[in-house]
Amino acid sequence: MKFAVDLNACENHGQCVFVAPQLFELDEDGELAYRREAESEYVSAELAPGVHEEATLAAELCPMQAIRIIG
Amino acid sequence: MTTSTVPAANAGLQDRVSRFYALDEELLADPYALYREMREAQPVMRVGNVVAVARYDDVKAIFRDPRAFSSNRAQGTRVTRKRAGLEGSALDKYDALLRHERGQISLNDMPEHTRLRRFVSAVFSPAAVAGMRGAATATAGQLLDDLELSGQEPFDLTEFSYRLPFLMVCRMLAIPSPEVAAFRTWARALRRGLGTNWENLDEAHAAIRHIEEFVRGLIAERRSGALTGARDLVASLIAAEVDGTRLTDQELVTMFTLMLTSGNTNDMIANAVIALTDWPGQRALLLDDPARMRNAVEEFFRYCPSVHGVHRVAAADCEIAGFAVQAGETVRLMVASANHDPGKFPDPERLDLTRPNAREHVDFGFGIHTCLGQWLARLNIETALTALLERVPQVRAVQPVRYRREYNFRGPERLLATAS
Repeated sequence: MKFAVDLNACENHGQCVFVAPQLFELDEDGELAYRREAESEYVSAELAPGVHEEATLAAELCPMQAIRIIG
Repeated sequence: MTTSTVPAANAGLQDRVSRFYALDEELLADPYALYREMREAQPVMRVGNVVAVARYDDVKAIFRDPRAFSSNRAQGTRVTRKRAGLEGSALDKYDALLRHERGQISLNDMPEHTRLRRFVSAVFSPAAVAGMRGAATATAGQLLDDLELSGQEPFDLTEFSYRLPFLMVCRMLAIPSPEVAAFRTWARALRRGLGTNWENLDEAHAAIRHIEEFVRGLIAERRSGALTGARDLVASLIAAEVDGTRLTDQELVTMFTLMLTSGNTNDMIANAVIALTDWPGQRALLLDDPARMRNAVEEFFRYCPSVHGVHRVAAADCEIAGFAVQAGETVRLMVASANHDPGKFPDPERLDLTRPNAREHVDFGFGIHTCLGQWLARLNIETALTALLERVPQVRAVQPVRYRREYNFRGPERLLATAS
């Protein structure tokens, strides 16, 4: 399993940071940290099984529905 | 005016803000002038039972920190001090209204907030709402068919702006022939209560009892199997499971009641028509290229929002922009003032439908509690204004507009319009 974040749809609300703290982080400006790594879409590496549930929950709850689960 | 009245201009800012929140008609007439003074002179201020926060950056920082600023509003001074002043049946009624509020997603902190939101996240997602566009367009068209738009006489836009969002919710809940007038009366009472900390206790309490009874009926109907195979939101939420839990009846009742009585969309449609009346050049831009409507809706949320205040409760002693706040104090986030903060939005008192950062308004809140219904609200407003401008490109609000006498939700009591 991987996840992808649509960085144009993301508005940095931070719901993912609360439900999936191992996977998501806001920087000191309140922006999703993955913005430093990609322009319009960030795609994660293959996820360890221990964080599959966190990733799924983040995708489910993102208020902008900007997170997509792959695989 | 009698000679004993202190002219508004001579009184201190603190005093004027107090009178504003005590529903002083003169001050309520132009909230933005007062907001501007607050942002400039006292951006964080203790007023009555709350601490009011007027600047964009401070408001947003509080939204971002749900652990330091709780959404459990019943614990805050705005509620606890009011409650301390009540007794007898008034106290019973106030408590009943608070009990009703408690099931609202927006009044819960994590982890309960997360649990409740999981039940409905998909239903209100952008993708789900996009599927309702056809129905919204058709409903808007039918409602406009009912209005006499071509004559010289003014027509009543209040009905149109109320019915579109209401009928869309009825569609989701499969309520076939809603008693619109009754719901409207109940909704008005509840919203007036929410906007004045339940100043209208008797009226609001009666309304909540009526509407809860109706919603309990909807639930019972589905549970009894009378509507076997129903696939509406009531049926699906009764059956839905999250981590082995279901929504309780009280949670279901609160959720559907909120949907059936929410009136911010209705205000927004009316406020946008008023704004277009005041800014003819902006109307021309919109008529020239209807694709501008998407950003225009964001600018309406920024410029003439329905929601003016949102409350949080300080979880511990803290400071907001250097102002000391005590644990348990209610903090009023003045979102309409934040939307007019020139530090974020240059020339904020100007309606600019092409404003590049209009979308960064905070009228839906921000962070984990950001409005769940925002996509549906956008769809309804966009559809309503598009349909209206197609039929009546020069629609104008009849002035002067009389706004409701409350400080938390701003919109006209009634909106008459003409076709030219």
